[in-house]
Amino acid sequence: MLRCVSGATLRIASLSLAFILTGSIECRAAEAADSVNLREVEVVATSQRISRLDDSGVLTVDASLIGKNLRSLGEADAVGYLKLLPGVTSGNDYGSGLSIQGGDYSHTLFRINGAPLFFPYHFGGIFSVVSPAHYPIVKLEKAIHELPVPSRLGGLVDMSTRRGKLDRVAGSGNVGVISSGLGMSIPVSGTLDVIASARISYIDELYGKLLRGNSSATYYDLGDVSVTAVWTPGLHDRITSDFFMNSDNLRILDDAYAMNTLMKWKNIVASVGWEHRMGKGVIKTSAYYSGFSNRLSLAMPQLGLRLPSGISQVSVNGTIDLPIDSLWRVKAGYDLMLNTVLPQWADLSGYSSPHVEPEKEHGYEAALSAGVYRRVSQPLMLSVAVRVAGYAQGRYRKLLVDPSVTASLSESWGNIKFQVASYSQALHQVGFSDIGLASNFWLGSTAELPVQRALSAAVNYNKSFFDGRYTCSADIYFKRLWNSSEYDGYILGLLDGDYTARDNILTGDGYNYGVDLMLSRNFGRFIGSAGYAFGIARRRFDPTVGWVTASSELRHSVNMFARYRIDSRWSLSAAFTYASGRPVTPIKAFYMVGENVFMDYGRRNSGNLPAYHRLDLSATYSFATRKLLQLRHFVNVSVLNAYGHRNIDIVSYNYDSDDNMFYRKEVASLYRFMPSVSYTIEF
Amino acid sequence: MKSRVLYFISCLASMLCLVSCDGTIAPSQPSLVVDGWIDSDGYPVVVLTKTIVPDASDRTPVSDCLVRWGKVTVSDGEREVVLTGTTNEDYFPPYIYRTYEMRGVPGKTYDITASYDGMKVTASCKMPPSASITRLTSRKIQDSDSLCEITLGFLPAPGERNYHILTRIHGSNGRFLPSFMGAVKTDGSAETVTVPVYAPKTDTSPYDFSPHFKLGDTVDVALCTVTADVYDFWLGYDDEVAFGGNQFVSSAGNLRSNIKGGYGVWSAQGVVRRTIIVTP
Repeated sequence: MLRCVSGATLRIASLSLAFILTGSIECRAAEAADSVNLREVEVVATSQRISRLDDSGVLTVDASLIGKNLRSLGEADAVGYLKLLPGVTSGNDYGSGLSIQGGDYSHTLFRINGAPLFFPYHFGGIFSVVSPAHYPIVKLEKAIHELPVPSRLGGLVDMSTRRGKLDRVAGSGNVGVISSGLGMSIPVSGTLDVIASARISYIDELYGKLLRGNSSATYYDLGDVSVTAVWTPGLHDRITSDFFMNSDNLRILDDAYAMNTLMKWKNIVASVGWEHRMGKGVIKTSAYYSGFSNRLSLAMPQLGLRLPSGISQVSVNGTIDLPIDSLWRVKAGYDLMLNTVLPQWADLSGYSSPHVEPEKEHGYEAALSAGVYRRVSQPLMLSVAVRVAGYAQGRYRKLLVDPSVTASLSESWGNIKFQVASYSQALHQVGFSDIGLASNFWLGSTAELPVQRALSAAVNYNKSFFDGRYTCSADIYFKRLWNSSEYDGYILGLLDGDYTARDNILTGDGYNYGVDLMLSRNFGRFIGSAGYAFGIARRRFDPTVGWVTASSELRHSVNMFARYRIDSRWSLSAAFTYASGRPVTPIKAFYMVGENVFMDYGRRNSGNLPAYHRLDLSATYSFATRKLLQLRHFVNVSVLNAYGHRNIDIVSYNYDSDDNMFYRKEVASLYRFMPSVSYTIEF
Repeated sequence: MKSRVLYFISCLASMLCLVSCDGTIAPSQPSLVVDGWIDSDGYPVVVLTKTIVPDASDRTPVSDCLVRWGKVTVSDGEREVVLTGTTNEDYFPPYIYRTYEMRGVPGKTYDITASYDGMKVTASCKMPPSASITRLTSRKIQDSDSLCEITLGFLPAPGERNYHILTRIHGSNGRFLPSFMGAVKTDGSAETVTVPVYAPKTDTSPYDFSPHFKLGDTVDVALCTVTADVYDFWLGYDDEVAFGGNQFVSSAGNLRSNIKGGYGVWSAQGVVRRTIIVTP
């Protein structure tokens, strides 16, 4: 579709096209003798490319297209697709977080329309809480960041709504195996668009019997809702307001223990942003609230344990991007943040003495950032930037200065970008789950738990060739970490009368380095990508122990994705993941005390689980009908771990009373032959 | 079209070829494991075993961990006694070292030394005073006709915060076993503490675990005042028994032990016992 903003009839002889990642093409007419002088022309087309790599190595994924290929339990998930990229992993099938280039989960910042999302997953990392139909644009920055840099040490996953003005009512509905969702995009007026989507689950209704064992029963429901309003009062202004909320409830009843475990978690994000274009420059101002709370409770007869925790962040921030001339460009920004944290505490009844609810902690961060960009020559751009922030929590005060230097070179043989940068992160996330359950909690920095710092050096090389049909990219990175944190307490330590979360946290140093390689085919019936990553991640929490392998290390990984469009109706997809085994602390020996078997573990994370690999397959049948409405239908069938490989999560030893022997026990992931069917309708 | 489908299939096939072997773990040497105690006004008992180093086989007989010919001595600072090894079906593995020549006295420090086949372990533990049980009651749990819960009230020993609860059900097993979640740390005040008493959870039991007791059971409850080192061991023990092997929570790692050169626990403990017949 070609839409002319000026309303003129077009004869375009020469247009310099600049792809906008939404699949829209925005262009300005070249000044040629036989052309019409236009202010702006917008060409909209449906792109079939799932991901695009820009010159600076930033990858943007179209989540709505992912949903037409691989699905997890009937749900499209852009965050799940990111795990197919080199250097990106959740570490485990149930991992509820993304580790990017060896970083901790908490080092990765998830944002929706500019506001942070503290816990982006439904239970067990099955799929993210963010609806891909609502936030289809997913941008991934690994180690190299543009101003304003995030207040995190690691990668950035930025999910947003499409930017273009709606020209008609559009909608979609999805029916999956565990949940269904609806989305609507409505151009309320010539200046106002409203986008809304919601998703609810019916796991208990459909799978209730399957989730009930001899002595236990599991109940789970999830829901999320998103509403975005975009007001464009003029050509120069765009005001966006956004609301997102998800709520998950997991309840496990165990008759044998007479134990009732309940976990409820919730994100609420509300934001408003104003973007003003002035000549060549852009000013952006936004304010947001983002809150996350988790309620984990265990109830047995005589004993009740509730572990509430939560965090909220309120921020006002803004940036200005001002090209001075063809050689100079200036960017600046500010960010004011208030963090309110309820550290996890044990609200205990029936055991020892009751605990006193701790007061909420408040942390304040005010940051100014500025960067100067200089085009040294046609292919070479240099930039120098600095973020200066003041952080305070209680009596702890810290001035954080994070400079960065970036060089970008665009030549015919490819684009290369090099950045050395310092980062600070005032928030820590710890807990007793390695896989990042929602019960892991956030804490603000204090003297005992100082601000996390990182020094990063990274290079990205990328090149498109054969007229953009193929793209290759390579990342080399090194990141030194200071003041990383880790939980070191027993779960049952929560029952102690004097339990304090902060007493159970270790801080230490670390470093990550590695290489990511990726080759993509972007054109034709057959598209796909293949990636390889090599990574090393080390941590040192105890100087007497020295450096140990981080649980986030992914030494070798290979990911392949392929989609073959057979005809206009059928397409097949496959994704294969191979990774060298996750680091684990090896079992040197086992022994018996009190008639229970215990492990004697060796050096921390010095062993590896067996290699992880799985193949996910998918087929999509699409067709269109035209009666009252023009409708597009998609039926997707997917199978996760199609060849049923038993990916081992835990190895231990136990005792078999039937034959009086000790035996090796392996616990495998439940993700085997996991089928998924969904039906999506769009108009 | 055919060639493209073949291309697609060949890509899939190449993906499937990428499989790998397990990581290897360097073998280690066996060490001695002490599961031993001396109660106030009681005699020392030690279940001495050794660790089993995993080998290629997936199954290992229990007899591999037994230590039948070890030497175990206990000293109270004034005299040293040698414990005698004997088969005892009340314990698992069914072989213990014991003596009736030394009785536990609160305030004394008891040192243990165990050696076998070139391996030697030592530990030392000062026996704290006993607490006082003020209440031991049972009642039927909700929605069950046959299961009951037991509640223990006790007055802590002055200055002592660390306790461990053991239970023994008459007719099932001869020894006191650690109660599920039996490590208790008080807040240090002199006020009465009330805690639930759960049944032991063991890997050796052929039955599904229930933390509750059956109506009509006769249950001996032992409340042990223990040292901070011993409490740390039992807290880790409880944590591993409750959550070990769970895919969703991290293992706390090795149990903290007060045994030098080996594993397990040596506890000189002030003990008070009560018996209750479980009634609704």
